[in-house]
Amino acid sequence: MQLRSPWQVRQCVKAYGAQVVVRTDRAEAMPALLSRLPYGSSLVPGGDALFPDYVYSIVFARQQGDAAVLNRNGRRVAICQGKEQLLDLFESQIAQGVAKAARERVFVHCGVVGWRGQAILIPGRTCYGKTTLVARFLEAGATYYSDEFALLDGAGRVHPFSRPLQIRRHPGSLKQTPVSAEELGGAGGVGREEIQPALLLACRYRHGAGWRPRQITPGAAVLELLRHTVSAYKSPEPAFQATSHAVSRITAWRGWRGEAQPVVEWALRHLDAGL
Amino acid sequence: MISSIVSFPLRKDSSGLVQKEMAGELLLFDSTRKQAFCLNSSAAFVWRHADGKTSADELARLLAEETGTPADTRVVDFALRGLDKDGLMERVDLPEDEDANLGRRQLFRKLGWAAALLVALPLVTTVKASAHPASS
Repeated sequence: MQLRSPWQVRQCVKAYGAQVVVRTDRAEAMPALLSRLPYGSSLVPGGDALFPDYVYSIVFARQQGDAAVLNRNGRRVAICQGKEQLLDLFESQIAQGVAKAARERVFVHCGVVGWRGQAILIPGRTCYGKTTLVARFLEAGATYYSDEFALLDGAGRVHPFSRPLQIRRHPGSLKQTPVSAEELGGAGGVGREEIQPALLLACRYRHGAGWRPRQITPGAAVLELLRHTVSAYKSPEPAFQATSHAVSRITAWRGWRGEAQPVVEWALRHLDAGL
Repeated sequence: MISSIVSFPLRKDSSGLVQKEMAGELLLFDSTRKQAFCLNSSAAFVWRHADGKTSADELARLLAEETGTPADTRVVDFALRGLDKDGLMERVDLPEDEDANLGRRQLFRKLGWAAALLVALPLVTTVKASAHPASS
């Protein structure tokens, strides 16, 4: 007896040297899934990979509308009750997968903007206020690179990961709304070329805090970046090399911040003074 | 101050460590433990010279020459304890004295050094790579 594969469609995706496969038992769901692939992804013709880093499987419940199970490498990640929840989760999971498996770039959780050809890095985990800071920098005329990952190459330069910004309309909410850099009205546009980091701001939002940053050493800056490097556990040496190079020409600062505007003004003044 | 116990501290075999020097600091990456360390110049000096043949007293003298601070074995002991705690030492042989649990600022106050010399006190910072770093 021959068993029929439950997968109606499957698609292999390449991004930054990582290969992932997406498959589902509902063909009409695939276009929406593929619309949530990480920035810089491309589809591999033929739809399959010999040795994928991750396989994401989406299995829909037979009689429950858009309810679905999302699996990664055969293990259940989540049960989603609706289409939007599924797509949001899929987007986040596949971005994490690519970030972990990428061989051509080192992914660091970081907001990144460009200012006069140099990068400002804002490392931090979720709810640290990275996107808010990035948005204020864009309004001040900075160039958009990323609100999620700094993509470092082996020489420590930052490449764009310019997906739409994921703005939280309500503080502390996990629900994010995509907003393009253009919609924020910034004149700096979106970065296309790799640039060298010049400033690192290790800051975290605290209501009412004044911006009184303390300069940290290049070594401490490397540790700060490594702490937020997705592949540091799986591929520690490339991560160590890339982050070390990234801080070779920066000044790095740490502190609590309240409102974003004083930080933006301070940072741009700081960079302009050093140019 | 001269230590009553003669110790010859020995750093761990560094063959499994990726090393990078950066603006006077020493960055170490232990691929096995997936842990990165940043040693400031004093801690790096002590670690490099802890070869199992140089006594702690001698290390204190060498460190003082290097940094221009008063020679004091308490500074070297402090560095060795920090390095040992982070698994970077093979052997330290330190006395269990009242200074054993001092923090960096407490030791600094006890030494009575000028404020500008705080940076000369050894400092080791570390970060461990996580298999699941927090997402954005």
